[in-house]
Amino acid sequence: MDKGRKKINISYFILFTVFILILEALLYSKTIKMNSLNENLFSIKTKSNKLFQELSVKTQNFAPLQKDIMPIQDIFIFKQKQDKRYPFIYNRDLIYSLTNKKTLEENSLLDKAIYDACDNNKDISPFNERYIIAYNNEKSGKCYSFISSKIDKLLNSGLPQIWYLLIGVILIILVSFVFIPKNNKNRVILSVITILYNIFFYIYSLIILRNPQNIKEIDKIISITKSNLTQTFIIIMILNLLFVAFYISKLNQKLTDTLIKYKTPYLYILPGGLGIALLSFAPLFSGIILSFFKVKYGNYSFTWFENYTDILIGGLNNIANPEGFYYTFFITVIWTAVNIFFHLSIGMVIALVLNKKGLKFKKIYSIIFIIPWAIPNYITALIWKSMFHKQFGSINNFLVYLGFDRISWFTDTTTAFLANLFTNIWLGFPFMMVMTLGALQSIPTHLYDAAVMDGATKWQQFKYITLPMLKPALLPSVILGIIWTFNMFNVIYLVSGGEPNSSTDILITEAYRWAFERNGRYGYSAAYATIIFIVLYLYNYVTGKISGKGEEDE
Amino acid sequence: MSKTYKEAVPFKTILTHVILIFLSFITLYPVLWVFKMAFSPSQGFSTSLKGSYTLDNFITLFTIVDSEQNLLMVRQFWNSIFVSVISAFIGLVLATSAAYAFSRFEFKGKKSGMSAMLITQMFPGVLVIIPLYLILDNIGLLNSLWGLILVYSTTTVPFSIFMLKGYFDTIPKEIEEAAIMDGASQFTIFIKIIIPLSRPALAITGLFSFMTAWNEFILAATFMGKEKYYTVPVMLQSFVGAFNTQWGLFAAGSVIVSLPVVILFLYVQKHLVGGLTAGGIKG
Repeated sequence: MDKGRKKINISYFILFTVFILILEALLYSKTIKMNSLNENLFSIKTKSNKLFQELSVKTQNFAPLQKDIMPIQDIFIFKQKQDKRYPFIYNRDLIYSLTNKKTLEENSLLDKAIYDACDNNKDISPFNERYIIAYNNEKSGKCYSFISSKIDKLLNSGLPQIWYLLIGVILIILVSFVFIPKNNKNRVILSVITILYNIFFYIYSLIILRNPQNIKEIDKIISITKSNLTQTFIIIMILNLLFVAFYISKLNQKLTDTLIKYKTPYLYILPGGLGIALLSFAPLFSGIILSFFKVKYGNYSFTWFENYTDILIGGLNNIANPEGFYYTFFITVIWTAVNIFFHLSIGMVIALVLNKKGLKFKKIYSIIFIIPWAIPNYITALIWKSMFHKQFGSINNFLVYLGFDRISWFTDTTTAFLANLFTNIWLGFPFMMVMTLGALQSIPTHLYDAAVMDGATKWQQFKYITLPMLKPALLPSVILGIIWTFNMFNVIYLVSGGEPNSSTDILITEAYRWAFERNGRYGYSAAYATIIFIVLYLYNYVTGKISGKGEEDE
Repeated sequence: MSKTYKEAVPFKTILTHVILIFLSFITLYPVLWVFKMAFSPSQGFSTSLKGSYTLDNFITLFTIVDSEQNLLMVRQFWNSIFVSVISAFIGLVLATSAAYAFSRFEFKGKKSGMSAMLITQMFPGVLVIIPLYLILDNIGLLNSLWGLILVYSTTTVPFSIFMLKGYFDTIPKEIEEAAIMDGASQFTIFIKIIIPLSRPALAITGLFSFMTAWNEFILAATFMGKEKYYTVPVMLQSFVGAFNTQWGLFAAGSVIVSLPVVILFLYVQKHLVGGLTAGGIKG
């Protein structure tokens, strides 16, 4: 019986292998096509670049060209850079052109296409530089344009897929070595097979690529954005993994048994688990990997721990430098501590007052006090920002009414910090109030009755009954509140915006700025984020220990 | 029945009410300020609560057009609704089945699964924003509502699992046992018994996911580069840009965006509190 089962497995296995190999072959051929297009674009670039130089040297103008180079008439590539002082203005530099018209203005359709491309991309996207490619097609007579931030990379890219392949192969070997029992020589065979067929296809693609020809229609350039390449390779990697998973399932009996035994719960968890794995854990791990890279203008280079050493012991680390890590960390800690103190004290006082027996309109009051929590916090932040406006904001109006001068809230670190603080206190006390109210209701009344019998004053009742009873109930909320405040991105980002000079930024907004507002230093920012994660993890670990202990004591 | 005694009590009560009313005023002031701005005729600030009131801001808001004469704000409202509803639905489906497994079955990896969920609660969206940005960029879902849905639908799943698991735990197992005796399969029980029984919990969890997506700002602002793909929060923030600030439009938009969620929140708030402490800290 055992033998029979094995036979079926092998035939399945062969079928599956063939299926995977065919699929991968198809995908590779698609990639190869894309790569030759890529090559084509590269040749346009070199040709037009050369031409452009020649022409500009000779005639200061664009001369007619032989049409046999491409079935296109004109192609312009611009580099666009955001003006530093006026973010809505873009400076446009022509970097490549291939045209038989004298100037761009003569080709009004193309000109319009370029403007359309710009207009559709009035973005707040984090690109400081972007490229516009505009061209028209002789056959269709239509003009096209598209904007890419990465066209330069695309033009200059070598063959990035080798990295995907290497990662895929390493992953497979790792997985197979972990899951396949040691004495099973199949794991070596498996690794060898995977490496061999990946290498085979890679060499195949190289050979074809050395032969740039055929595909001439520039229309297709649009389709070779890098995303297509990546999509293909993601699929290839998934297939690789499936292949291995199938192999393992046949070889590691123990694992298979567990899977079969708990089939039902695993199936129920699978969709949600997969989503979380792909969109929470995969980004987390790729963020950690990214933190070992230096990213400059879209180029990645592996630098081990350089980002970390830069952050922790690098040049920015003068304690007075608002962009330095320790300064920001200090601000973050102060921010969290002060906020939690006020949230807790205000929330608790209101809850104690509302908890009074026989108080009228209790419901109405508690609804009013919950409202700050209910309003989306980005709106709260923007409202408070408007209230702190120097000339028209109601807070300055109130100060004037009291006889003080108007304060320019966001030009000084202290006042900007205070503005953030007021906003967040307003935003955060309802949570603590609600939690305290809930906890108060669970304190048995007979404790107070007994205290009254013993002649205890109100303050004594509070000190010896209410406070000790509240402590365990409020501890989780405080722990949670600290995490929230530590990461309160919206308030800092929208109220003070880190002004002046990012001196009121907390760690998380600083990390965001490094990635999206300071030349796309993704690696540096990822290192920042990783440090924040480590800090939070340690914090959670420590508080987990403490609150765990507290529970044991009871 | 002395008069002095009777008077002493109301004084204290009145004082409490005065303090509470004062605090309520401070709490409500920003809200009133926004309402005032929304209904005031000018684009700037209004200094007091007095003055004339119009609906101009609302009308302007909904008649903003882009370069192709499409109604921009209407489109963005549609984007917000579309993204929030779909991602809440997907998130709910994912969470319900997982929560059922965590509640009803014993299996290998249950504990580590739950603690993995907890870890996801520890890193907020901003931390994974760069990797997500690069991933979405690479699979071509930047500037696409589906990219946003993809991200939103999983962010609330861990929390929803905790909420729903808590609810499923309260459903007595005897009902299922009886159904099994009658020959029902595990899946039939899940679909025909558990889900109908937990309708209120599902509604609240779904509403919560909806509100999370509806209120999300920073991911949308980072991933959406074109105005026609903006969600409402991103558009509202752009009204308060550094160069031309349109406070009236911002306020009008805020009122429309906030009113439904504030009401929803007041409704589901009580149920959230339990889930927050149970899910956020203990495993």
